[in-house]
Parts: sequence; structure tokens; C-alpha cells
Amino acid sequence: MAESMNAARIVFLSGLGVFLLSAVYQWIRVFINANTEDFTQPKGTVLPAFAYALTGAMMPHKKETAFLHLPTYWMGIAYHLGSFVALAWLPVHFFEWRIPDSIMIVCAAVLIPSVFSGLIILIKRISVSSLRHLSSPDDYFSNALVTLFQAISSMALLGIIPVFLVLSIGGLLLMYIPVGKLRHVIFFLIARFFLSWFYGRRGVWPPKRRILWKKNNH
Amino acid sequence: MEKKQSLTRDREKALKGFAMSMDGRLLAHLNSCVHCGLCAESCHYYLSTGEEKYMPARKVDQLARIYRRYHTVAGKIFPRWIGASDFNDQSIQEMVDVLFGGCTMCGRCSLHCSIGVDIPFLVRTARSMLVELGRVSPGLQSTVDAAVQTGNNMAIPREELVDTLQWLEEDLRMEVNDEKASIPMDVPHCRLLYTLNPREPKFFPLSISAMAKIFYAADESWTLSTHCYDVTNYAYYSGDDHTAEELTQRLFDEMIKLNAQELVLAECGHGSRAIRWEGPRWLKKKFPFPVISVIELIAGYIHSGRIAVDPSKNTTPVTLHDPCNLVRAGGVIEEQRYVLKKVVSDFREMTPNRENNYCCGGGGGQLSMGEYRERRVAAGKIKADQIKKTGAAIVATPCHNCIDQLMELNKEYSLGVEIKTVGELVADALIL
Amino acid sequence: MPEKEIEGRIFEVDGDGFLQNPEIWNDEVARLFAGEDGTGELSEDHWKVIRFIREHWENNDMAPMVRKICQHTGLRLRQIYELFPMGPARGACKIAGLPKPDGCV
Repeated sequence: MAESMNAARIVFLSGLGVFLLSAVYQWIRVFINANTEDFTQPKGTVLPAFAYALTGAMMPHKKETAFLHLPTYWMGIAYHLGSFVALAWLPVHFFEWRIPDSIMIVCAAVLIPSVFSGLIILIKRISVSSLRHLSSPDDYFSNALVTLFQAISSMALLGIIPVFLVLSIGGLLLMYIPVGKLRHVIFFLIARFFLSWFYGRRGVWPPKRRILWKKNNH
Repeated sequence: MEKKQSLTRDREKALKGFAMSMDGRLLAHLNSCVHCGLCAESCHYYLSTGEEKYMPARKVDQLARIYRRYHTVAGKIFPRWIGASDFNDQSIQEMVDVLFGGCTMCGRCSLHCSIGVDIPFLVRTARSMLVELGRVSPGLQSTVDAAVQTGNNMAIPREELVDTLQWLEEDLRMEVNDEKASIPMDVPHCRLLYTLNPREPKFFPLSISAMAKIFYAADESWTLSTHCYDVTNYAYYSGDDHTAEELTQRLFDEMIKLNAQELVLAECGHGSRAIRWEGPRWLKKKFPFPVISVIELIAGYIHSGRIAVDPSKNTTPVTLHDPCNLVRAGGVIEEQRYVLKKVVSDFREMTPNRENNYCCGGGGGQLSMGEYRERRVAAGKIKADQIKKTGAAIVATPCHNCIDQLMELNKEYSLGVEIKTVGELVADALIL
Repeated sequence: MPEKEIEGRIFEVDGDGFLQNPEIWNDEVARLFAGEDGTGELSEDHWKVIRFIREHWENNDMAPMVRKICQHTGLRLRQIYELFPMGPARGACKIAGLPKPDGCV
């Protein structure tokens, strides 16, 4: 058992290393090429737009992709929440920290709808023609891998599956993130920031619904 | 390692240009799409045709798959696994077909994207690669060429412009019954330099008369240039940054030459966007003068009481079409509403509106790409339905490009409406 | 190359329906195009506009400014728009058998 655990620790550390190296490399690449010199005369500011991009703009009543697809939206939220919870447990497993049972049960409970959401999203991708049209093998694999990781995490929390399995799969998942579409983990905030830059400077985000009169403008 | 297909010289050049343009913003947007596909219903092309190739996520992939093939480790080793493809005949043909022929770069998908991928930015980046390959649609390219060679995109000779403006000036004098009313040409040191869309002097000069009347009412110090006045920049659409820069520089130089204080952009969506929001990037410098849309100017006139208007002069129900480039990508959102509510007595919003508005289908250079006309008109059905629902008899829109598409939709979908610029409605409501 | 069939005659046109071979244009073609695009029966005023546009294009290789159309036909601007609901470009120039002008039209 201790041997499996040590092997799992090595897998996890390798995965974490690959993920972090890749993430840092990409962040540095974006940062040195950020090219944020902007010569335009602004009609708004970037930071409030970024704040809005991460709050108001993500709300289901504002976001068409959400309110037209509410079940998918909520499944997406559950799925991502599950991923964060499962990832947060990896260091706990790694160091074999003692955590109260109640917290373990809550986390397992969060993971169960998340796993089902992941499965349904996967089935959707397989069965809906437009999604198949968009998908490469990586899209199915990434979806399946994350769902599997969540399922194993929840079972480990409930004591059905040994912890070293979670740690190993988690390590493999981390290792795989930079390869395919899961790399959006690395880029999501940056993309949203650049979009906020665009809408913020131009005064589109956050929506104002009023005119800021300028003195010289008459 | 899957061996890459060999590249022709121009394809190599296009890929090199792509690599050169790869700044942080482009990297972020290229790497973020998760193919969730929820954007499909935000696109008027997809909504009206149901064809999968028009899904915005698919459009992202047209470029992202090239990026993955040439710029990621996984794409070099096992391209099929992550959906990477070579820059070959097939992928180029698909880019031309969908990114030129099936996208107006309206940006509605980006606003609602789960992640926040700037899709029109990627589409335009891909178009820039196609510029290198000479694959820009001929109609779009000839409009760009006309602007470069003749100084305006309809190749209007200067004398003919001058004749037209003088003719309009006579009309204006009769209308306001004042011999001093004028349409000033090439007058230096004015407060405003006003621009035109060449289709105004060529075919639709009522909007020039309307603006001249408004300037007259405001007692404005303004001028037109007869040398460099074209507010359009079709190189923005084609993706040709080099030419876009050249066209912007000309207008910039004209401002400096005439020593005007503010540059006022006519009712033109893409032109406003190109000059105000992209121009400084192309020229790599700040403009030492404010650049504003004429809609902002008119709103200011009304707000400050500089012109007086009477909404009871326009009693027909009016709705407003928001041009994507002026509104969603230009931040002129409330001004046109403020103006219309002041100059018409029955203003009706269409739904959705403002930054959520649907593209009319005429953007992205579509109007000049005749080969895709059927798609353009089909994609406009969403807009036609929106207009019908308002029950309005006039559609106002501050964009000449939209006007032309709306005129065509008017006929194709038997809307029975009149299409006007905002300026025309303001001019009709003026109290002199 | 798209084709347009009107009353049994087939025309080669561009995507926007503008005639591809302007030299085959004649009064009959104008009449057919006008019927097809909803302009309807061509009146004397229609013909004045069409003939002037055609002549201007043959001499100068470009569509005339709308000012010139008004000046030469004696019609007022608003009358032109009423005669050709699709406007001078997509309406009148198309019926006169010109290729599509560049620009926002």
C-alpha cells in the first residue's frame, strides 16, 4: 500500500510539474507579448469591465449562451465546481492530511452531480451532430478523463476506492491539461481579460445605459 | 511525428505573418475555445441556415487548427488527436468559404462566449493570412483598390464630388431660405472636419443635405475635404493592415493639413470603428485630435440646446437598428436612442438591442462580396423578423452599409418600411 | 457563374444579379430585369434614367453621380428613389445592365 502511494505521489508530482511548467511558460509568453500599448482615446475603463466580465457578464440572465441553454449552463457550472473540488483534494491526499468526515461527505456530495453532468455533457457531445462536427478525439477524451477523475475522487472520499488511484489519475490529468483543450484552464482568465480590455476601453462593458456627457461635445 | 505537407512560398509567408502577429491577445484567444458549441445560436448565419459550418466555434477552429499544427507540440506530433490541420488547399478553401463568405465579424458570439474568445478578432487575423495568398473576394478587393487608387471607394472624380456638393448647397439655401447657408469645402482652421461615405455623394445625398442642415442650425464651424473624405476603410474588412494603415494615414494627414480640431465620422459603422478604434494601432500613435461619431455630436447638440428639435414633426413609428461596429465594437450605444427619442414621437426598440443586437447581415464586407449574396440575404432574415415585430414604418440606422442591406431585406422580406439615417430624421425635426 | 432565368431567357449574372456581359443589354433585357426585381412596368421617366445611366457608362466606364441623373432627366432626387425602390445602384444601374459598382452598395 505504501509503495503504491509513493508511486502515486511521483505521478502526481510529475503531473503537477508538467502543468505548472507549461502554465508558467504560457503566462510568460503572453506577458512578454502582451502589447498593451493602446493609443486609442478611451470611452471607458478596463478594470471595471474585467470585474463585470467575471460577474455580471457570466450571469445566466445576461449571457445568451446561458439562458438559451439553461440545463447545459448549470451542468457546466456543476462540472467545473466538481473539478475544482476534486483538484483541491489532491494535496490533501498527497500529504494524507486528516479531514473531518463531514467535509468529506459534503465534497463527495458535490462531486456526484458533477460526475453526472460530465457524463451528460459527454453523451451530448457524442450524440448531437453539431457538437460532433466541432469535436476532435481530444474533446471526448478530455471530457471523459475529467469525469473519470471526479468519479474516482468521490468514490475515494466515500472510502470505496484507495487514495493512490485518485492521486495517480489526478497526476495524469494535470499532465494532460497542456496538451488539448483543457489548456483553457491556463488561458481562460487571460482571454477574458483581453476581451474586457476591448469592451472596457470602448465603453461597452460594464453596460452603462446612460450617456457620459463631455463638456467639449456640443 | 506526422510530417507536415510542403508549403508554397506564399503560404509560408502567410504563416510567417501569422507568427509575427502572435501577441498575448491572439495567443489567449487561440488557446481558449473548448468547443462547447453554445455560441451557435448567437450567430445569425447559423440561426437562419442551421448549417454547422457557421457555428462561431467552428470559425475559431479554422484558424486555431492551423495554430495548433504549427505552434504546439501536440499538434506537431499527433495533429489528428487535437484537431490540428495543415495549411493546405482544403483548410484554405474552408477559411475562404466561411471566414469571408459566412461571417460579418459582428462579434455577437464573443459577447456571449462562455469563455470570452474574441471571435471576430480571430476571423480578421485569418483574413489577413488570406490577403497574403491573394484570396480576398474580388468584389471586396476591388473596393479596397478603388479607395487606394482614387482616394474613395467608389472612384468618384473630385470635380464630380464638388459639383454634387454645390448642387446640394443650392438646395440647402432654398430649403432654409438663407443665401449664407453653405456646405464648406476644404476650409482650413474649422472646428470640425466632417467625413462622408462615398455612396452619399454618389447615390444617396439626402444624408449630406441633412447633416448640412443640422450644422447650419447649430451654426457650426465645419468643413468637408474634397481631397480626402472617405470614412470607409474596406481594408479593415479584408484584413489588409498595410492598406488600412495607409487609408487612415491619409485622413490623419488631411486633418493636420486643414488644421481642424475634431474629426467627425459620418454614419458608418465599420468606418467609425476602423478610424477611431483600430486606426491608432495601425498608425502606432495617438491622434492629437478627438475622433467622434456624428451621432455623439448630434446628441451633444440636442443635450446642450445648440439645436432645437420637435418630435411631432416625425410621427411615423421609428425603430432603430444598431450597427455592430458602432455599438458592440464602438461603444456608441445610448446616443442614438437619446437622439431618436428627441426627434420622433413614436420610437420603438427592437429586441434584442444595443450591444446584444443582431447584425443586419451586411457587415464584414459582405455587401461587396456578390458571390455570397444568397447567404447574406438568408442571414438577414433574423433582422427582418426583428423589424417586422416592432411594427415600425421607418428603420433608422447610423450606418450606410447597414442601410443598403436593410434596403435589400426590405424588398426580399416585403417589410414595407423606409430606411433612413439618424441625421435625416434629425434634420426633419429641426426647428430653425 | 450564377444564372438568372426570366421569361425563358437565361442571363449570366454576378451574385448580386448584375449582368455579366453588359454588351448583350438592350431594351428587352431592361424590361425583363425590371419585371424580375420588382421595379415593374417601365415608365417614360424610368427610361430616361436608364438610358442616361447606360449612355454615361458607355462613355465614361462608370455609373453617373445621382446629381447628373437628376440634372439630365429633370427628375427630382426623391422621384428617382420612388422610381427605383432599390436605389440608383442596385435598382437603376442593374436594370441598365451595368456591372455592380464598388463600395457600400
